[in-house]
Amino acid sequence: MYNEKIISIFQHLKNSGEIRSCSGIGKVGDAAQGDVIKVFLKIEDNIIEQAKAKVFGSVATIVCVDVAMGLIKGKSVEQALELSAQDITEIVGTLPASKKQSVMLAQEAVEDAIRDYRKRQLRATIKAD
Amino acid sequence: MKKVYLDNAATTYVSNEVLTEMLPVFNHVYGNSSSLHSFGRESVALLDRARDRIAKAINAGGSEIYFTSGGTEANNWAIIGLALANRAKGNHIITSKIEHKSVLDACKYLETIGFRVTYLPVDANGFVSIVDLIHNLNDDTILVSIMAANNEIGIIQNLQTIAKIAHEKNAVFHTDATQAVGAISIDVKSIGIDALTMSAHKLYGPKGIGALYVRKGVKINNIIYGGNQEKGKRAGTVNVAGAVGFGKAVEIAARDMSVNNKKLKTMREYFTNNIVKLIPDIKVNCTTVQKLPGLVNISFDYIDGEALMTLLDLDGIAVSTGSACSVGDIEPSHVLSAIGLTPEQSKGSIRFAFGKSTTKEEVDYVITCLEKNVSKLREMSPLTKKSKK
Repeated sequence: MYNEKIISIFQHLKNSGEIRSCSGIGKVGDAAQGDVIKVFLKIEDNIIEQAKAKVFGSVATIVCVDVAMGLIKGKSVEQALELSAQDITEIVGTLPASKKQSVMLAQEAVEDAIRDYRKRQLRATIKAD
Repeated sequence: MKKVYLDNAATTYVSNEVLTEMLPVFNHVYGNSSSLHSFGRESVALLDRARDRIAKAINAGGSEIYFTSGGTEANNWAIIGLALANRAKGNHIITSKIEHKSVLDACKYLETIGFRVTYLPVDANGFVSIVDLIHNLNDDTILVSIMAANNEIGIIQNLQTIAKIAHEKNAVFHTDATQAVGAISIDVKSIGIDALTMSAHKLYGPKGIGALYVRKGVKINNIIYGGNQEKGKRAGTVNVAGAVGFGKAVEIAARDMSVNNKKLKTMREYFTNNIVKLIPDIKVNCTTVQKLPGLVNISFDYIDGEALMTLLDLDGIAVSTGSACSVGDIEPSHVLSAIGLTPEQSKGSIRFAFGKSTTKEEVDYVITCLEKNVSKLREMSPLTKKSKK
């Protein structure tokens, strides 16, 4: 069902886990409906220094999220928001038809983590003022 | 790499005894069984012997066995053929929520042409509610179809009681015994079965061959047209080699049933007891003793069954997240939902189906790999006992 690239990435996940003192957390999905993704970002000077994720879901989702974390690492927040489905599928190859939503979930999780980061930034700014 | 096959409910290998008997049929006794010459007659003789062997295993007559391309066709034929043949009497059908898709989808088709179908609920072990069956049966009910043993959780239904109740309202009783034949003793006469589905590849026979038992005197319409094979009931050249293999496989299964079942049950209990002891936060589905000896379905909290199945596959272990016929479905298993599992529990479920050749060493290897991989996936999962609450 899955191509060799997906299986190979699944066997050697690089970005699985959590970051203790992170700058933003993104959470998407609902276990009752499908997959759940929790993304942890460590951002310094607007650059994503670290990106890790925990996933409850299919191999496709686990792999897409892992790849997404790798792609946004070292990028600016704005560049991370430009992460496209194509960026992910270029690396993972073709996904089974029933797993297409995995790419979208990975993108949404990144966006949600950045949203959280920006909220925290805003709160910090207000507090400083 | 070590290879362990624990997906025997999806299919089994063809045993050597079966293969030996099949091989000459491919290139020596290859006549079309519909042909009138000696080549054809030789094939007819083989088909009749296969029919008798299958009939004997379920205490039927050879003339009551009709070969099909497999269990799916036999189920489609039974549901649609029996419903159409009895339409003058009524248009209500009763089945259960945990039937195989080849029964459920045939019922859904019948609904589109005016039949009414009741899908009976089941309890936490998968037993069909007898009270609900009685409550829903009426003079309009023409067919009751309840599977003998479930392919995902292994529950064995109380067929005799169900058949008796169906007959009290003059409804025909069909059972899908695809998983049951060869695993449990079935006597169609004493149970009161009017039609029964069988398949060869679940009992060490070949794929592409199944059969429908139809009790003498029970009316059934054809669903395949274009020839007079199978006494005009099922058109199409009969798969003689398959039928020969099927007959032999059934004969062996009946011969070795008690030895195999004792071994399978011991293996299943050993496996289950170890898993329960070693892995926390799991749920063994279908805990009654009235279940298939070689099958156990377990839900692992906080993880996805497909991911676990893939990790096990990378360790050389073949298991399944549900029925092979449901691969690609994104919805949770209809069987696990029917026994009350949450979508999350259902997603984290794995079916382990042991076979007659499974060894204790293999089971030990699976236990070790399972413990390792469940732990690995749980470390990766955002779900915890706390989040579940």
